[in-house]
Amino acid sequence: MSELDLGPVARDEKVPGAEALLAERPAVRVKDLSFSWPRGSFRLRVKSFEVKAGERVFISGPSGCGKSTFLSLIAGILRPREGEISIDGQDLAVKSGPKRDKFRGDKLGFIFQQFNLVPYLNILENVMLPCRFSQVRNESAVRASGSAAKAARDLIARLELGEDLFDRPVSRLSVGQQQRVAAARALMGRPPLLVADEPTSALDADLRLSFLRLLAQECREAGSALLFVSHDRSLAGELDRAVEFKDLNET
Amino acid sequence: MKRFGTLVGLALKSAWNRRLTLFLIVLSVSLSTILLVGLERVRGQVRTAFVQAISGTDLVVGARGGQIQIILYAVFHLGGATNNMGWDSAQKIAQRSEVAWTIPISMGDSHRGYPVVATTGDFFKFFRYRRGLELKLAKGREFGDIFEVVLGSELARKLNYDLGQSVVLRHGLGAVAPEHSDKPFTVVGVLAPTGSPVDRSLYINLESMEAIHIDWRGGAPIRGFSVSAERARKMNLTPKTITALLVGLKNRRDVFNLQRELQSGPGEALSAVMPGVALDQLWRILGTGEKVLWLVSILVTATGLMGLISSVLAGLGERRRELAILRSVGARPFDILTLLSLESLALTVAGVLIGLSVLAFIIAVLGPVISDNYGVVIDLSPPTAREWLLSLAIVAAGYLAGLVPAIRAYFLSLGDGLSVSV
Repeated sequence: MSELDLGPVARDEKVPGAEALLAERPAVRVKDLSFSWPRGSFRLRVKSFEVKAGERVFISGPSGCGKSTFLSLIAGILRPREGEISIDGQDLAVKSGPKRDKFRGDKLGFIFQQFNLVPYLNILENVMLPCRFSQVRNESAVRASGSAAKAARDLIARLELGEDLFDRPVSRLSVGQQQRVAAARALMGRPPLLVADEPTSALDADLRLSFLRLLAQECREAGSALLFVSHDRSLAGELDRAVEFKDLNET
Repeated sequence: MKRFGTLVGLALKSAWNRRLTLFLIVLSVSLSTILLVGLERVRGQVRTAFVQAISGTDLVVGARGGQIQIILYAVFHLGGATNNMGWDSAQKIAQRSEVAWTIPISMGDSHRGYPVVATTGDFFKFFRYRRGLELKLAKGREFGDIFEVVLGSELARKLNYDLGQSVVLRHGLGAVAPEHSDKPFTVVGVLAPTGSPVDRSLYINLESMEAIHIDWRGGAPIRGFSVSAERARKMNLTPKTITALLVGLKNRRDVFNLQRELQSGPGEALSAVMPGVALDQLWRILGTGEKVLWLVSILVTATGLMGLISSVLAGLGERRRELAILRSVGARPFDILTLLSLESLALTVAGVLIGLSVLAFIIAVLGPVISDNYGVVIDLSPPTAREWLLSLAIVAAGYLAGLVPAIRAYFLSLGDGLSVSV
């Protein structure tokens, strides 16, 4: 671990001066990024983009505009042709494949559009999944709640999922319930950054707003930054900041 | 290590979730195992019974002829000899200094299709089979007087004969040959089962053989001339010829010398065969059918493993989403490979274990039936080294087969990343 890596301790304990330090360690920092598919006309260029620690940002744009590609770059799945991507103050470019996989497990929480859950695991197991792959997330959860299972139960309760659902196969949950389980999993172990890729598009209109509000509130509670991507601009006002994807992409 | 535990846990839960499909895969693997290992078991036991039909005998001597033919009639009591060897030659061999014992054999008669072997008391004393096992009597005693017969175990059971039963021998091996009905035999003993050709023959002494042929010439009774059993008893019953002579040496090193001397020496033209070598050659000839069986069962196993590959591959489409989720929480592509290959490893191990258990059950239930009907003894014994090796080979093949979908999943998860469009 580098000296820079303050880890979740700093965030949890609200050490005086931590705010200032965290400000120097943005959740996401993208500089002079350029990417293109090997045999495609699609190109992505982002001169500068930053999400401060704990900041909740809404990115809007129509489908197929390259939002998912952008998120894959931030997740370290795709590698940029040029430019810098830093997550929580660490440059992804210098990391090898397995290191990036580990880094992703440690630092990022994901919520997808739908089918977020591993079908053969129950709710609790799904929520605890990040702790299985990431030591950092596990330790963070244990520090905050005493045990990973306790942390998971707390999160599930906060996301308004009753204890009576615990034994139910996740495939029998409603889409709204599934998305809240996915949110709990993403928040597990308080990662520095949550990435939500169109998480509300499978939800009914009246559920979208409440889901976003709940997610935003829990991110604030956990001290995690949120990158919320959606084509639904009506939700844009709910977060700290809203960005149009086409303003980011300079091609 | 902790991560490996996580992957094992995930693999197990995932497998349980798809248990119906996987059950069919396990079933096909266990059927392949039953077929392959079962065939190996039967092959091994048949081969043992065959190659070890005779043991401790260093040379089988007969009139000049092919060595396979000599083995066929002297060991398996199949067919007849075209020529006999002289009794005097047999005596000379028996008296040689390097010879420990001899068992003369005279054949040619039968009873209800079972061959009659005329020999001496030395047969019970010196004959060995299956790594040096001795013959034992299940009931009664050895033949002593003429017109006494000792039965092989299978024959006694099949014909339902017991001590005191009267048996009439038939001249020659055919079903329509004339019978020696004027000189019936009495059963005085029944041998214990050996799982060898011994079980399928009748044993009389050489004098009895002479006695029943004393009034015969050229394969038929002499017209107008017959000798009663009582009169035959008092005549000179020393045989003039025998079919073959089993020879045991004091020192096995002498076998090549003796073989050469007997085959090229002066006097009667003889052939001397080392039974071990000849039985191996014979097995190799008969083994062609065995190879075809092998080929078929290997093809069946390959088909089973193809089934494994195709069903795991087919299931992969549905699992892409799941794999992307695992990637999002920090699973490496290599973890995905491990997850999938662990699954096929577990499937084949389960299949092989189930197969071996079912096979043991089948042997326990069918073994006695098989040995009753076919004379092949199939023991319920722990798997041999070869069978373990075979089972391991199936597991290895299954694991390799499972790598095909695993590698596909590896590249899928590399390419898909987190964004699988469902």
